[in-house]
Amino acid sequence: MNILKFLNYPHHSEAKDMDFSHRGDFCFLPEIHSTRNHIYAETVSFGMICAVVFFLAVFLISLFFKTSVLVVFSGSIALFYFVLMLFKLWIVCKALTNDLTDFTREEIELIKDDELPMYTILIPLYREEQVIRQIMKAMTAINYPVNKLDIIITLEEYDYPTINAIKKAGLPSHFKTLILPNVQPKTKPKALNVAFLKTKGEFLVIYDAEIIPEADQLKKAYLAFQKFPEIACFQTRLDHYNSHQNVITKLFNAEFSFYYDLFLPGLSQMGLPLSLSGHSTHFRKEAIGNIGAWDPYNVAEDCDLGIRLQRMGYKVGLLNSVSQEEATSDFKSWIMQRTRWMKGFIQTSIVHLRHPFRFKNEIGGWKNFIGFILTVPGTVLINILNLFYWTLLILWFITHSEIIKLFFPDTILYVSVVSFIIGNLIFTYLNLIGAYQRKRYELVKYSLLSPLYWVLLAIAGVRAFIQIIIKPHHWEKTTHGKHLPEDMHLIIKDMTENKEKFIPENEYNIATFEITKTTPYFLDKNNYRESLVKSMDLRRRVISITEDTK
Amino acid sequence: MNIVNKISIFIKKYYPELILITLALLLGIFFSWYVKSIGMTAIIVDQNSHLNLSRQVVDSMTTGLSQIGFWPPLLHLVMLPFVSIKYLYHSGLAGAFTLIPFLCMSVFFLYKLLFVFTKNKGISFFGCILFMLNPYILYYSVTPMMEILFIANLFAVGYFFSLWLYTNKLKFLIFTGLFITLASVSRFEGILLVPMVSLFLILNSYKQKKKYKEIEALIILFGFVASLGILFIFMFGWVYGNNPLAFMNSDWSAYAQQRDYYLPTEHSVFHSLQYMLHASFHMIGKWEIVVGLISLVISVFLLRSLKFIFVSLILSISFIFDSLALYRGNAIIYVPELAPFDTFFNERYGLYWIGLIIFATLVVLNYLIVKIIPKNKRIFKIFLYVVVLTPLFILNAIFFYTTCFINKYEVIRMTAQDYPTNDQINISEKLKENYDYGKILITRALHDFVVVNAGIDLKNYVHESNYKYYDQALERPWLFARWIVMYNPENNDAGNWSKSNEKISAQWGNSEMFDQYYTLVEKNKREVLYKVKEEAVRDYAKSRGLNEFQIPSIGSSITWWDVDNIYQKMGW
Repeated sequence: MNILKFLNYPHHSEAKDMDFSHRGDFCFLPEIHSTRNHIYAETVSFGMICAVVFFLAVFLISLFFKTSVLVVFSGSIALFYFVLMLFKLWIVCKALTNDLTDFTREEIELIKDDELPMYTILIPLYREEQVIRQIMKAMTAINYPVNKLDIIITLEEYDYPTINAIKKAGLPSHFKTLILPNVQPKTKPKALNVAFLKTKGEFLVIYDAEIIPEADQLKKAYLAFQKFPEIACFQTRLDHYNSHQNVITKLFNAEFSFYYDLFLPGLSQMGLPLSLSGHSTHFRKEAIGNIGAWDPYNVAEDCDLGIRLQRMGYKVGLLNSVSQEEATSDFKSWIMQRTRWMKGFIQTSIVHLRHPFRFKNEIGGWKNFIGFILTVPGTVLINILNLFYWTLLILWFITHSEIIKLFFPDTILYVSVVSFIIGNLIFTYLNLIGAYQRKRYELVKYSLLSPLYWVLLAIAGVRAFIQIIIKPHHWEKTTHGKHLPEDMHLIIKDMTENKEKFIPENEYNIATFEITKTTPYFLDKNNYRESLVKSMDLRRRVISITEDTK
Repeated sequence: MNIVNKISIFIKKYYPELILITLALLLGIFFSWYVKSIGMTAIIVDQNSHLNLSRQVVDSMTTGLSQIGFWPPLLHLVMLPFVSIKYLYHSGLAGAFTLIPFLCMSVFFLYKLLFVFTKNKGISFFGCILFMLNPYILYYSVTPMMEILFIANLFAVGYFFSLWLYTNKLKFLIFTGLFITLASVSRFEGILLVPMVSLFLILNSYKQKKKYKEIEALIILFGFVASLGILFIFMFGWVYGNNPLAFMNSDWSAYAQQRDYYLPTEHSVFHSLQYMLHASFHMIGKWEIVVGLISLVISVFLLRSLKFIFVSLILSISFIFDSLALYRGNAIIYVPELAPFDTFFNERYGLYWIGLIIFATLVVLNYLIVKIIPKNKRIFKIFLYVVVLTPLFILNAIFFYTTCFINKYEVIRMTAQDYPTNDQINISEKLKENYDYGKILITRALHDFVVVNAGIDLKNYVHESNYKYYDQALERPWLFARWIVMYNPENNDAGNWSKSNEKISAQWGNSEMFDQYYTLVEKNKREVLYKVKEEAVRDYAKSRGLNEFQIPSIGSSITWWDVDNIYQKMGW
């Protein structure tokens, strides 16, 4: 085996053009750009060279400073912490001088319907029966001519609950459903790839089931694409409509405030690679086609796509428009979701670092390469290291073990302590600022608990690391609709699982729910139909409430 | 735009600030030389303590953060790069190198603060000139003391808080908090800024009809940063003194130290204020204080500005804090005209509110002139400025000239109380002459001058900041300390606090056993210097079957040992 395989490119799989006729797994990319297989000779050779260089450097430094290898090792980790802390601070400072792309109401009102292009909205659904009405309502509220909207809902053929819920909800005529072919992998990016072949729009956006975008978001995106022809993709800001549900959602929201209001704008200002979110990101369809669409095997296809766009020379911008989503509200779902994101980060790192020097050239030089390392694999690594260090710290407090002390001679101890204490304080504080800037004043005090939230992140990081080995392509589904009242779940469960009872005589449509009286809800098992109508009324009110929080 | 254009635009925009900073820099350099030339760079006990506390961090048996002491640590930290250079440490010039930038910073922020309230570059510039004409500001900017560090941070707090009051921008509140933290770790007076500014924040927000949740969020955002200084002080006390409040109630705290002194202000509001005011007369000038206080009263009624009141109270924080400390007996001030008469002590506490005096005077003068003179009478306005400001300038210039060049800082000389004494000089010289190798056991805080002046690396001392080493050496000094410096046990001049904290003298001063192992090298009224009797220690080792090559006091190659296993190594 050539031990410098990672220096040889292009890969033989790139000899052919991207194959959009591929129906086996709907992966249009050359295999080297996909995570269908994780291990390639390139990855192994690069990993080995990195390990050898790192350990050799550690060994030589230990010889030079006449200290133990373990001390140098812990020193290098402390240095990594310190560098990452400075990097993030630098990014945030840059964010303060970066205004997001935005348009006034007047500018939006000036757009004539005739000039608007066809806009595709992709809505990949799987087991989303809880939030069908919410997404329909949110989509119908979008301020864009209906005849220029190309809304495609993708469904798995065996997902009866969602299909049933859609049937009952009654889709408006401009919504199209697309039943996905029953082929592996069963992932969201595969669904997007299938749907991509059917899209008609000049631009496209993905909205997940629980999303409520700002009504004028498409028009804003259109104006942004007009104004910046060199930008292929606009990332919007994400927020949560259930941020007040419990401590987890509050902290989740504080994290997003920091990420979307400070971190991403900072990265953008610096021209560093951005990892996109899985929804509410607007694309030029042409760009998606040119880069081979999504990698159906990557569980963080959004991050991968963002990096791939930038590798291919496309620019990514930030649009000041908010999409409200549901924050996962229970520990299990949160951990599962975050594990998936982290696992996707690992996959994205693996796939893009197969030819590191080529990647460096394509992404825009060393600055962007290091930016990628610190923000994508660095994010996973720091979370795993956090858990290790917190465990070490607790052990030291309990045992005062001399062995632990040996790894941290004075200088390294200071760097570690400064990174740990100052770093934690700074990033906790940035979360406070994030919440305040979004005028979520009541969340500011909860943001003080951010270090506890990072413990959860660390657990997810470790889980992702384990999963990448044992279940690399497994997609842990996030359950939505948990912000709804308990009794609402009962009704929805009944109506989606017990087809016999709930297939209505006449299909409901949106208007039906608008005119329902707001009588107090009660669950009457003997009169399911009436209960159903009432439950839908409750749902309507929930949606109204969530919209009020925007 | 090329770099030359950028620089020229920058200069045009910021010329007053640049001129002031340049002036401060030049004055700082000149006074470093001048104060050194009259031999006053390190003549106060505290100056030597600060030098040692900072140096210890890099030069000690136990280097690191543990050495910075229970004082507010900022000076010791910022002085580190300079105090690491031997010459700057022994000469005390490390203070000047560290603090001149803070003189520039204080001038910069005073200018900015005055400008926020007067919108007049000239009068803001003039305020900074008055500030720089204060001889004690210059003195404390070139010697290793905390004063200018605190004042610079205090001005920054005033400036950023006033910006927040005017703009409501969060970043200014965060900067306010940040500089409060820096002020808290510059001097303890800064700690009081946390509750004070929090209160102002609440009052101002309430006035603006902000909702409870927003006020709560602001308090958290502000308090988080502003409290870091206090948190550091608490944590340091907790880790190294087993008591978060060690700075307040340890054996070395100000309160404990004052027990040896006459305390005329304790439990007397009147005397506390009286001593503070008198100290201020000496530090800032009597007429300046009178004019400043009158201006303050007038402006409160004339301006009716909550912003002005808030900033004035911030600038007066040291006056409030120190009056309180005097009342509680945590601090003392002596001035010659008040009991116990004819002496100065801690009179510098009267200097810290100089910012308020200048601020109040100039803001009210500017207000009156702007109000009285119509806008179109510019010449008349300038004339009036000159007429009013000239006496102020002359007054300060005379005070400056007299103090610096006629009296040559008589007040400082008096406060130093003949420190260092001939006895201290004598002991340090003898130590310097005779020192060969091994550790010197000393209670550093009571012999700071000896440590600075002897010219021996601090890693060769075993002192109280070495914690376990000090305790171990104190138990059987002859095994660990080749040299010992301690108070002369026959000296009755030292106060009870000093005597009880001079543990070496208290424990071994009158011990016959001690005399078996140590030879007297030098003795004067105040202090004594001993050297170990090598033969006696060898006999001691033999009689107990110890390995004499592992005994630090007689082993020239043993420069460091592990406290936990040294006895084991000796074969104990």
